[in-house]
Amino acid sequence: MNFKVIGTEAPRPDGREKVTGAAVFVADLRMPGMLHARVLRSGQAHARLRRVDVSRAQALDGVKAVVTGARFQRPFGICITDQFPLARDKVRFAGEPVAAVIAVSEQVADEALKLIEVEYDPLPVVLDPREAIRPGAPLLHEDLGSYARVAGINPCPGTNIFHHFKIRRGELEETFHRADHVVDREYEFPSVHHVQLEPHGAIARLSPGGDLTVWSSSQAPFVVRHTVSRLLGLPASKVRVVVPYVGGGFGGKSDVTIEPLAACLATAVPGRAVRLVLAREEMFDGTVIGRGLYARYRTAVTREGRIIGEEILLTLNGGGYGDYAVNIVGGAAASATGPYEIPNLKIDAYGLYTNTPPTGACRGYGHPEVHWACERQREIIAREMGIDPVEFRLRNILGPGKSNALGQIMEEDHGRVDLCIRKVVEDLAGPRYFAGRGHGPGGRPAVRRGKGIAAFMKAPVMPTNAQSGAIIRLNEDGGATVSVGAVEMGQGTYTALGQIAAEALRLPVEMVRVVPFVDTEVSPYEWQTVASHTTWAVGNAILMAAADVLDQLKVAAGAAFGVSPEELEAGEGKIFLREAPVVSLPYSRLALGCTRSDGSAVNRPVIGRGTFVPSGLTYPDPETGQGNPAADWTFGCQGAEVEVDLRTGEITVLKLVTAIDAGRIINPLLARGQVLGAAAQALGSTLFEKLIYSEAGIMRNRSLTDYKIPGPEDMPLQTRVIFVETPEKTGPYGARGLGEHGTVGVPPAIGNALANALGADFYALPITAADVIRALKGKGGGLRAQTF
Amino acid sequence: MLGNFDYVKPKTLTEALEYLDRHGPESKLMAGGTDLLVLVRRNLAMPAHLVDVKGIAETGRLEFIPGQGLFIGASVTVNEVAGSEAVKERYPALAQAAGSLASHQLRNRATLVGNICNASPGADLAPPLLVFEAVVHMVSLLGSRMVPVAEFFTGVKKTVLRPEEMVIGVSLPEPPPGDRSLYLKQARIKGHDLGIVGVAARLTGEKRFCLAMSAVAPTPIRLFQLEQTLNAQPLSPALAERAGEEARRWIHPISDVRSSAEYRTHVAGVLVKRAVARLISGEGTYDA
Ligand SMILES: Cc1cc2nc3c(=O)[nH]c(=O)nc-3n(C[C@H](O)[C@H](O)[C@H](O)COP(=O)(O)OP(=O)(O)OC[C@H]3O[C@@H](n4cnc5c(N)ncnc54)[C@H](O)[C@@H]3O)c2cc1C
Repeated sequence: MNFKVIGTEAPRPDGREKVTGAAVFVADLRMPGMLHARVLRSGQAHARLRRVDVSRAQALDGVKAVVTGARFQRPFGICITDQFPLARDKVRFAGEPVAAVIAVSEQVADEALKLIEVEYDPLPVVLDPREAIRPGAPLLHEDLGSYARVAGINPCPGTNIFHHFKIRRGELEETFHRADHVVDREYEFPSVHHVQLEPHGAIARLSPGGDLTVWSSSQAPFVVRHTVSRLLGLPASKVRVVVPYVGGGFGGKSDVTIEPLAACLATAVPGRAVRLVLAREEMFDGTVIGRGLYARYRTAVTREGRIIGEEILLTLNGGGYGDYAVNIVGGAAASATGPYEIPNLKIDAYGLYTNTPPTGACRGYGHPEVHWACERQREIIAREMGIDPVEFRLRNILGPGKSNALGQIMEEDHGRVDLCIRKVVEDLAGPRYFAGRGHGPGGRPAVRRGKGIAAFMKAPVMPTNAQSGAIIRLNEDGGATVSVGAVEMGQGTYTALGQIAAEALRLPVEMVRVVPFVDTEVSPYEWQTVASHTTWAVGNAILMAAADVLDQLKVAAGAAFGVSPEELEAGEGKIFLREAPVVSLPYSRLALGCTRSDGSAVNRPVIGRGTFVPSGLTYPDPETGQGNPAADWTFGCQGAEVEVDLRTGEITVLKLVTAIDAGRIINPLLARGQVLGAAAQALGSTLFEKLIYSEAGIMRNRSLTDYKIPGPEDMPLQTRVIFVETPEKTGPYGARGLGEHGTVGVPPAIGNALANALGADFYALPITAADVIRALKGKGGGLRAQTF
Repeated sequence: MLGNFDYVKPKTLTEALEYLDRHGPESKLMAGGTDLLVLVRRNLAMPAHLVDVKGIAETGRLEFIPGQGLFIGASVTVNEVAGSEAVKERYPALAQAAGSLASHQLRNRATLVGNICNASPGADLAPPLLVFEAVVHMVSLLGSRMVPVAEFFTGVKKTVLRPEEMVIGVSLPEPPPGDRSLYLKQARIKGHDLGIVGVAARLTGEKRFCLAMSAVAPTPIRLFQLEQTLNAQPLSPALAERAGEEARRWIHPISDVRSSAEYRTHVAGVLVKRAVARLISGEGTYDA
């Protein structure tokens, strides 16, 4: 195909606004008469609320309302309705909102917070999901059995398990019996935070007419609308959610976070807008955190290096409330094998309530967690069996005709993981990639170098009927305005979607504008902007809307020329006669309705409409996990070369290579940016990031002084992104998702490189300089490190 | 969120000292505010008065006078220190430590005097000041006094400063020719971060070692005993090894969210050994 716009590095329409600081985010908005809210957060991780006395706070000058959980009796929750906007009866994590003050300024609200008296009856705290699963562990939700929940969620009342997801394939016991080699290991991916640049913010106002508007930094405006309308008993049409630019989401602003609370607060001061913008510290314990998975892998392998069976136990830390962690459980299980065909499987994935802040979506959604385990495991198996690890992977690799853990048969257009592996190995230094441990340059003995790879796969984890829509209005100059329900949070989605629209409408990209905000009152419905599925799903909706536009234009031009629409073509902003292209009408003449010489109208204004829903997706079988819940798979491979200072233990990532088969690349510049950004984020979780709690469950590093993320100096000295472009048959112009995927293979690639450099296996992240030193001194043990 | 306080920016030293005399105990002096305002925002410090020192002309002085040495006023920023030719030439350890503190933007506000008055055990600029035997100049309405920086720190976030006193600047004697010095810091990330351990090391023209460290004890410390041991030995690679081993005996690090005491102890030894070895090999030289 000959593309004009697809595959070009079209500039971001929002670029200038953002680099000059002119772009508007929720925290910049000011409403007339706006009030300010601040939240009193629980200082206890698990306790009964004995008394919340707000009388002194209420009496403070400038305070308009002080609100507690007593006011709001309806629970909410996307998958399980297990939480309240403000704690009632019980708090389940330190940071949970206990009361909120609405006042004329944040300062006054803060003063008032200090006057609220809370008495707690402390309860035993459980922070580790491996302990939370044990019989007799402190129970967080006594009423789990009575909570409403969506289909496919399988809680175990009387325990902390809010979801148990199973995969069963083949015969496991017999398989382990005939295995020549069995490898059994445990891995840990700790809880981390997304550290979005923009703090979570929401402004809510209940109008005197009884309808509610929420301006929010959300990735999921329609989920917010749904949740808030149910919580307040308002029809969806009376709840309006507006999302301007979002300054980074990474999943931590998906579903709902602070919006239910902001909406409830607005009802306490009808007619007044209430602004709730979190401080940096509150983002750590007052929204959702990410990851937090323990994994145990037991693998059966034959002498020939075939993986014949695997038993996997995944224990996910869900925190105080299920939130969106619920679906990470299933998503992690579905990808737990990595991109390999394993005929016999027993996978049990448990989501556990614990007394940490709730776990939500986090770029990669279960996939980096399980790949940390499975790709370390693959490396260890290969080493123990004396097989080249690249060769070992290729012997077991998933490909056309083979079936994944869900029983889906892979097809040609799913892409080439084998090719991705080969490209990364080639780039990392040809076939000698695995030469083993190496000294630093010039044979420096105090420095060791090593290389490692990790293959990966990821599907969007989404409802079987996740909907997207697009509306294209043609303007009088022949250009187009495209409305979508997807959120721009830095990823460049409006650029890529604009390119898809321009290509489909046969317009130059400058003639297409994607509306740079979402307003549920005017934007078409969108499930939410997550799961790296926007280019794919919304792109499909745009294709349909564009086709609708062209159909309308051809009908109109046909009427004007007195020919049938089938005889017409569209190109370069014109509709023309296929047989005689000089006979043409520009879109500009047709857009708002063309008139004949006598003034009579030929056509009506052109508005195109497109809606998309994935076809054929089904729920997995509750007993075996088999089914068709994953719409498309993106495969790839990542490789790292590391250098370790044997004296200080300091790790330097010299090179990071990603090869990804993301189908057709719509905008190479943005695509590379996404892959590299994701890799940088994952490098942070590999080497430094981890939320630390005191025994009582208080987060000890809830600030950027104490929680470090990588800076430019921490980026690998050399980075490469290689695109393998096997077109996706269900995607617009053959595109597949790629926004999260760059996170998935980085931790195991670096872990494997470190193992090769040091002769030590690390099982828990992050791997710090201190861990390296302990390993070198033979003091590792447990999940920290073991030398081989 | 910020509490309520009065903000004053005196134009003269007398004005400032009179203000401190009246309100000293409820006041906090402010230079760059990069330590202070973080505490005020978290309500960990709740001063009723913030007295900005940056309006006082004398505090802006950064001057090297040959034969006398270096004076760094209380408003001189860390970037000014890091960028000063005199500092880079004669006090390399100080220039390196200044360059390692936080980010460029932050160093545009942060001051050297603020760094030591804050008296964090991890203050990056304390070790170089210790090895150059800097003197802290303090004044109050009662008069002025000068205290060697080694006696300035009294505990975690504690100094000899009295409430009505302020630091006007710090002076460093001129190092004689042949002086070598450097600063090594280990942090969690390669980007800007507080140190897990910082080491300033100096080898004078008369082959006398000065060693000081941050983040390994309640205050930044000078390792006097270790220096004596080293000074009694001939310069050799084995000496560096020994310095690293012995340094670990003189420190008392704690475990916190940044590092375990175990790793601090380990890496302190590594950095001391490296610093000594590099000085012996001629690095960090100032050639007059
Ligand atoms: C993001 C960030 C990163 C940082 N990174 C580092 C780092 O890498 N290394 C490091 O060492 N520090 C670091 N710091 C801490 C801080 O920036 C430094 O300590 C800085 O040098 C403090 O200087 P200041 O002028 O801002 O001090 P201020 O905050 O103004 O004052 C600090 C203290 O000194 C007192 N004080 C100030 N001036 C006087 C005076 N003339 N007389 C008496 N008392 C006075 C104040 O009352 C206050 O108690 C960092 C801080 C931040 C916010």
